[in-house]
Amino acid sequence: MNSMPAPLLQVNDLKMHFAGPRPRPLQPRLPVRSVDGVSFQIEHGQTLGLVGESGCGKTTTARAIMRLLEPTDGSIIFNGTDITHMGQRQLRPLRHDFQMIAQDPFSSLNPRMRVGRLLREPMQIANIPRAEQLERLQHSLRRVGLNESHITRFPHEFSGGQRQRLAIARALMLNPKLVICDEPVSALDVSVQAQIVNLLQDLQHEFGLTYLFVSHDLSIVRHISTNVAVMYLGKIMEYGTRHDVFSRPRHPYTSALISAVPKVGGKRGQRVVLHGELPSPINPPSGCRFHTRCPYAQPICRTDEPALSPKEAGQQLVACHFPLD
Amino acid sequence: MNRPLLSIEDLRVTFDTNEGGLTVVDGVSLSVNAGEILAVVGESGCGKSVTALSVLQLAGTNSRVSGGSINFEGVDLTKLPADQIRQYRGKKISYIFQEPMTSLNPVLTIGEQIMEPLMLHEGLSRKAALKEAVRLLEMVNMPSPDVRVREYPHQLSGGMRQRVMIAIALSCKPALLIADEPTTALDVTVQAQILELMENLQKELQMAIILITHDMGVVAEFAHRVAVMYAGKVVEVAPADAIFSRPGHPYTQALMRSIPAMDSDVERLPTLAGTVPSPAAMPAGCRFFDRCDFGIAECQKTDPPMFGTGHEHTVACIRAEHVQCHFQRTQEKA
Repeated sequence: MNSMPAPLLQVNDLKMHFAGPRPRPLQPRLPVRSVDGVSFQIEHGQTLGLVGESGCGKTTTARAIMRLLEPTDGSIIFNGTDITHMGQRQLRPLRHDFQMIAQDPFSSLNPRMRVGRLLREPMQIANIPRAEQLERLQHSLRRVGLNESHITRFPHEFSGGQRQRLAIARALMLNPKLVICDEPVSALDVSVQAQIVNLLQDLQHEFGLTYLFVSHDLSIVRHISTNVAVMYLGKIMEYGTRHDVFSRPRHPYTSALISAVPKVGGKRGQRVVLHGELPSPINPPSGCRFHTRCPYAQPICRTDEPALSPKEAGQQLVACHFPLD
Repeated sequence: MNRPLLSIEDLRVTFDTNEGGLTVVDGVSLSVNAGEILAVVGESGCGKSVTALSVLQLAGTNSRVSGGSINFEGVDLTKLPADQIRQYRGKKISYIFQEPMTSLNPVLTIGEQIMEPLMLHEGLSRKAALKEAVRLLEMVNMPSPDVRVREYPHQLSGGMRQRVMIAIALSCKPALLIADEPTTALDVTVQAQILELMENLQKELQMAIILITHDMGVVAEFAHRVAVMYAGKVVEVAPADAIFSRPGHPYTQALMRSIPAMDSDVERLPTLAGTVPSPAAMPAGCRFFDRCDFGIAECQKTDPPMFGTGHEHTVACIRAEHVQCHFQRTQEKA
């Protein structure tokens, strides 16, 4: 995780604030701090799992990296180029290298386009010769487990799993380096989830893809990731290798998240149930953002914000004054 | 042996479509005893929700019960006229739907929605019902219930809305609660809160719960007994611990394998090849045959009946014992 040569994606202190409600009429709007200082990096060919509950800012982070949103502060360095404030026109050729798979395959594919047109669209934008388009189209359909007979069909004729295969084929059409997967399997049945996860892993090995895998499903993140970042209320709480984070979580939030997953063959009564609700990102708690729900909170947690640092050298980073053993 | 609280016998539910009748629930038999938590597991389209909805005649106007019966306290619910089934809804049998966002009325305060069944079924006055609504919100651990009772659904988070749904469902102390994927739309930490709440209330009120889910983890921690459904049929019924230690149906095993474990590592997740057959073109014989690793010629001839393979454990597979042995051998190897 430390100083490896030039990671593919480097995110430094990314902030994404939105205009929130006015406290009173005519008063300035309050900022909603959806993402409030997030830093991480992903090496070539690796997978970073970004986990957290709804509203923690993980999807906003993904959308800011895709430059679908204009970051408020911080920097995004992709493959050595700073893309944080690059104009859309300059960005277009670079976009071939980073693509996204959206969560809901029922709304991410245009219902009025046939499969052929859906998958050709990225190639048309990239000015790939027509003759080559068809060949690539057939090849990629076969690669994701579909076939040529599907080219003339519409998205509604496919099941959820097949649609997600289409979305994957579309994202891979221009041979990207980085693929941002935003909850790619959470809308699917468990047995179909496994098929899609396997497909993503096969494609990663075959094309040397790098993934940013955004999900709230810890068991899948644990399965697919190289490194894991746990987000809470716009901040990273814990960041390290998959093994460190899951086998020895240091942050009380990570530990609560892991224990909340119902387990087959698990013992009852060892669960840390978090009480209360996720605080609002308009007015996040002072000090450590997790202190309102933390079972181990001390007075210092209410006043001082903990830095993201390792408990012991070489281990995962944790933003907690009293990291767990 | 006491009689079950609810027993569904050989239920068939048919939907009338332009292409003809589609039987999506095809001979389902299930029973729930008083105070018991029965989990019904299966993937989208297996008929688990339609079975549950049929209990209260809620499966929709284009559906009809084309066979079988649903007996609750000695009454066949499928035969009841509209005004009589209404006496059961929310009173003796309550329902919690999957999406707390869409199942609450957005233009009524949550207080009014909790008060409605109380005034209708229990004959409480507005004043008494309001007081009871606050008490119910307190019971489901809603923060500041006396303020929340006057709020609208959009002012609440997903977890809080599901607490409201539970408060409504429990308002008349039903004997049976049907919860259709009550935590699927929620985050894991909220899911843990809601499941803990439901379990405590179940013990306190001694009601029976039918929990519809696709999450085997939830089943393992929550259910007393499990019924696995596939393509409109029940394929396995067993006590919760038996389903995990000795699953007898290849589909049950496949379901369990496809969840990545939190405590072991595999290179690839095992998957189930193929897709669920369409209700318009169900194969003869066993409906799982095309996707089954254990299939033999015999399987395609007749629809397998339920075989007993252990204490209160029945499996619709002619090779159940072989399948169980195979599972135990692979467990021992691992």
